[in-house]
Amino acid sequence: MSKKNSIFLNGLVFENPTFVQLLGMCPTLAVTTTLKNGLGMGLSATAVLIMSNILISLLRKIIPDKVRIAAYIVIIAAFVTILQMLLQSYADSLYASLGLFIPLIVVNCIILARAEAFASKNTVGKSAMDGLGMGLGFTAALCIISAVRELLGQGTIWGIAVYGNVIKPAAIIGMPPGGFIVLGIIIAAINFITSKKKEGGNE
Amino acid sequence: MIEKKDKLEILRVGLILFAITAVAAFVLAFVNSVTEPVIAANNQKKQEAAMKSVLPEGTKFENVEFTPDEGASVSEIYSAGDAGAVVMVKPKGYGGEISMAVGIDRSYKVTGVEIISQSETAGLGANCTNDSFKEQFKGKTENIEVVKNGAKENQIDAISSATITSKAVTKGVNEAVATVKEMRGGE
Repeated sequence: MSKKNSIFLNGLVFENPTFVQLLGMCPTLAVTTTLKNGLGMGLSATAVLIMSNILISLLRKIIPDKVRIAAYIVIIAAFVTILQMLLQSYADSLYASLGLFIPLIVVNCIILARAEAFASKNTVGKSAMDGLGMGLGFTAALCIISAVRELLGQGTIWGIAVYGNVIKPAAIIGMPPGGFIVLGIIIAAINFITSKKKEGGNE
Repeated sequence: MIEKKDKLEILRVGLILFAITAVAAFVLAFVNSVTEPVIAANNQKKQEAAMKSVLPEGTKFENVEFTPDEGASVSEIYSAGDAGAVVMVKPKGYGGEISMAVGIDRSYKVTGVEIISQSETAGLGANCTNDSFKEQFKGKTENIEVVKNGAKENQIDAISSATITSKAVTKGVNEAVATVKEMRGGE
């Protein structure tokens, strides 16, 4: 498997930023009320992550170590602001749904963490791949969580009613406590599956 | 005493940071100049569409000068002549301001309510944007009451488990009607 592919899979699966590294919990819990919001947020964050990884990797020999966090934040914030302006101009309904959470991408731990841990130490190509993998890993995690929360909390998927009035949806799932509960159960399930695999491998 | 080479280092670090922020500022100013008119046009279109949807009889909407009362949430009033008026009102909901447009005909009856923006709880208060909730206001006049169930004349049913949101929207509608009535010196 080529190096680039393994970097991608690393971000998507093995070091998934949400389920394994537990990064970016704040926007994760807040945004995953509907599948549409989860997907929108994930893709927006992925766009910013790839761009910032590329730029920071390009500038990695120039940015002085002492002020690297400040420099990263400026770069990330600039990209997020550009994204916000573009969304507001050309994708208005998505902008309205994501609202407050677009500026929150700036302090999304995932982006700063990858800048610090990867982009500042690797070539542009690899950094872009890492951004793509981590970003899509984040997006996949958001989609899984929001699908569960939308289905159980509102009875719809992507706005389409699934079981309607037959069973009353549990509204608490759409609220913060529900977010923690769903996230916790999913992480527990993943840990269970991966530990079973490890046991199987050790035989 | 700061040594010469440390001074140079401080200068170098400062200049690099300055360069990064300068480029960022320049790029942002450029993107802003391109998107600003688009965003303004979008908002204008949204507002006009909202006004037309709450007052279908209205054709031309003219902004009306007025002084808002203390603590009132009415932000703008648009007169549509004989068709009535559209009032932009922003009552405080559960999760923040609910920006809405209320259409009122000349006999001070509500012709329509449109929610322009809200940050209420998804699945609960956010359902205030559903037609089934908004339609209730049509034909009602001032001092609409919120009840849990079985709404009668000039009452509306609250959204289940979203009383605060329901009351906020109703308050907005009531203020809109009252303001227009007061302005017209109305009967």
